[in-house]
Amino acid sequence: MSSRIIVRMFSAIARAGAFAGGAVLLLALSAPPAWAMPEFARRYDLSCAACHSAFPRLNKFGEHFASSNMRMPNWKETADQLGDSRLALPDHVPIAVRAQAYVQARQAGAIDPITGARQEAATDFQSPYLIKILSSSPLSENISYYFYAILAEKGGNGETVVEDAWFRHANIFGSGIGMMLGQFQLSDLMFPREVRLPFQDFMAYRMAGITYDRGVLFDRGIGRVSLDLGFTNGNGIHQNFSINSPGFGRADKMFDNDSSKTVFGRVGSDIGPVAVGLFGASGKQRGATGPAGIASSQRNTDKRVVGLDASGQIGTDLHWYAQYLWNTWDGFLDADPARTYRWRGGFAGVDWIPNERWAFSALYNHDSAGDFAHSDTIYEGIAMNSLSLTSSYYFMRNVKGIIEVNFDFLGKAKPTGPYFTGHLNKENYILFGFDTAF
Amino acid sequence: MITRAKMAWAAGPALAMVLAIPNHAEAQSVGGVSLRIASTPSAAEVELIGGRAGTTPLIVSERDIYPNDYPDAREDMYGMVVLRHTGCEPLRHRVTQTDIKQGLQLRLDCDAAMVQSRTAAPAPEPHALAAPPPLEPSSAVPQRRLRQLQVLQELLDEGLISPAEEQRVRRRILQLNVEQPD
Repeated sequence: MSSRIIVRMFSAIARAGAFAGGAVLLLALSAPPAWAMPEFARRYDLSCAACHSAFPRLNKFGEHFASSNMRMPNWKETADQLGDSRLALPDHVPIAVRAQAYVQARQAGAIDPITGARQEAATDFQSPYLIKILSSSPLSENISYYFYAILAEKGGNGETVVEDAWFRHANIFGSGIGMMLGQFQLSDLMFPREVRLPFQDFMAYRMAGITYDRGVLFDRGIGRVSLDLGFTNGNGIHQNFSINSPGFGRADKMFDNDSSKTVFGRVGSDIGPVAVGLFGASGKQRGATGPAGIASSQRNTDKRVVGLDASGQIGTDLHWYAQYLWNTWDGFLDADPARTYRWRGGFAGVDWIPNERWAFSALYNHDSAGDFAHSDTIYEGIAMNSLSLTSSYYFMRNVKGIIEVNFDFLGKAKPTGPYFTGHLNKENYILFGFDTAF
Repeated sequence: MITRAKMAWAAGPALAMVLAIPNHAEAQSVGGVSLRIASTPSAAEVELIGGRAGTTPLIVSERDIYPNDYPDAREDMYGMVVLRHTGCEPLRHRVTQTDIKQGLQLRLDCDAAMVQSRTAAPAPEPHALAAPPPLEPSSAVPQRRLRQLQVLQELLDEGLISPAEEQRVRRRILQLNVEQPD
């Protein structure tokens, strides 16, 4: 990026920053008292504060609620009283909405790894950034469901993506074991991305490929130890092929692309004031092939992930969390299928919630490309070293304005081979926007 | 390359927001939601998940009822208000959003407590029972007797006391009704 572009970008950031800061402070001065009534709050006639320390971050009771099949003990009272003990219809259609809109200035671009062609835009109105339709309800003594569909994910129109979508039985055969069947994130066993305060993502989860997948998850608490064990297709959430009797289509589709399943699990407990967990996953993934490794190989390769997570709080207002992942991808690149590629990374963050109006967050992402460094593939892009600082102002309990600044500490690199891979662009950004749920 | 000055500038809005944080007292006034708790009789002791909070009438913050963290041993008190008053049954109430909006006005069951204490404890001497509760207006006494009899019937219907006990207590209530200068 030339110095002129950098100057122009920072000039855009300056204008956006001044606008964003001014707007938030102006709105802050005129904000009405906080009240919010999203779906669970409506159902149980509870304040949002019962489950959230600062939306969407869950407090201790919110985590307890989520792990209790997303229901309160009096859930039946919220069902239609139809005089049929075998029917517990929700007394209203349980729908909630989450919406986000941002304006962003960032050093970012789309670089074609083959030709090096660049497309850049220093500023962007990402509005809407995301519209989610969520639904959840208890259905029986032990079964609950939850799903949400994203309209316009990251501003994309003309598409709807279903992410979380599952049934959960809280007590399989009276064993005390819970079972979730559906679509979920493997990484939810550690730090659910959906309830983070920063805009910036927990990038190690995305790059390790342990976000959304389809499968089954069993959980059991034994004393102060929580155990989770699950199995997934191992290839994400997209359909892979339609079933046919050669040449003649059948009604069903298969979502897995092979016969193997990914097995994953976590053991968690509290050690003094610190909650710690050990995560592991083992499965297969398609390798990478073609120029710069941009294409998916036909080979199934082994993949293993080991994770360590820890979290706690200091006083009542300051919460911290840390995650580290060790990844081993056997023979991942077709260019050298005998080689084992190892890379590691993680993140750490703090959320400071001094009162009901403000929340401040810092999130540090650090990932090393490991054996992919200088591989002249897009996997060099695993490398990250960034700090995101976020200020959230709550106009209402369920409506917040945020400003986030991201500092990219990773040095800008030049291509090491014929392809345009590696950290060719700095990734600093500033954004301002709104996030609401109702 | 990003210079320190540029980074400092880019952090400006975030820092401006940090500097704009109101102090705790201000935050309570602009962002805090509170619950007003009143009771009949008043001066009832209020217990929340964090322990004793004071006596009614009382205003507590929403976070006193829904703290972000709490000891596991106190989990059953999350979102609860417990009122205690001498001579009354302790009252547990789960706080709802409606309560927070409208305020909480709770009535303690003191008559039932009196009847239950009489059924559970050895029968006191008639003259002791004859002493009217302090601060209770004399015009309320017949109503109180009626309520005692109703509660007694409920206890019998629910099998919490035997018919013999019910008869014994009923006789005492009626006896008091005759003896006492209502």
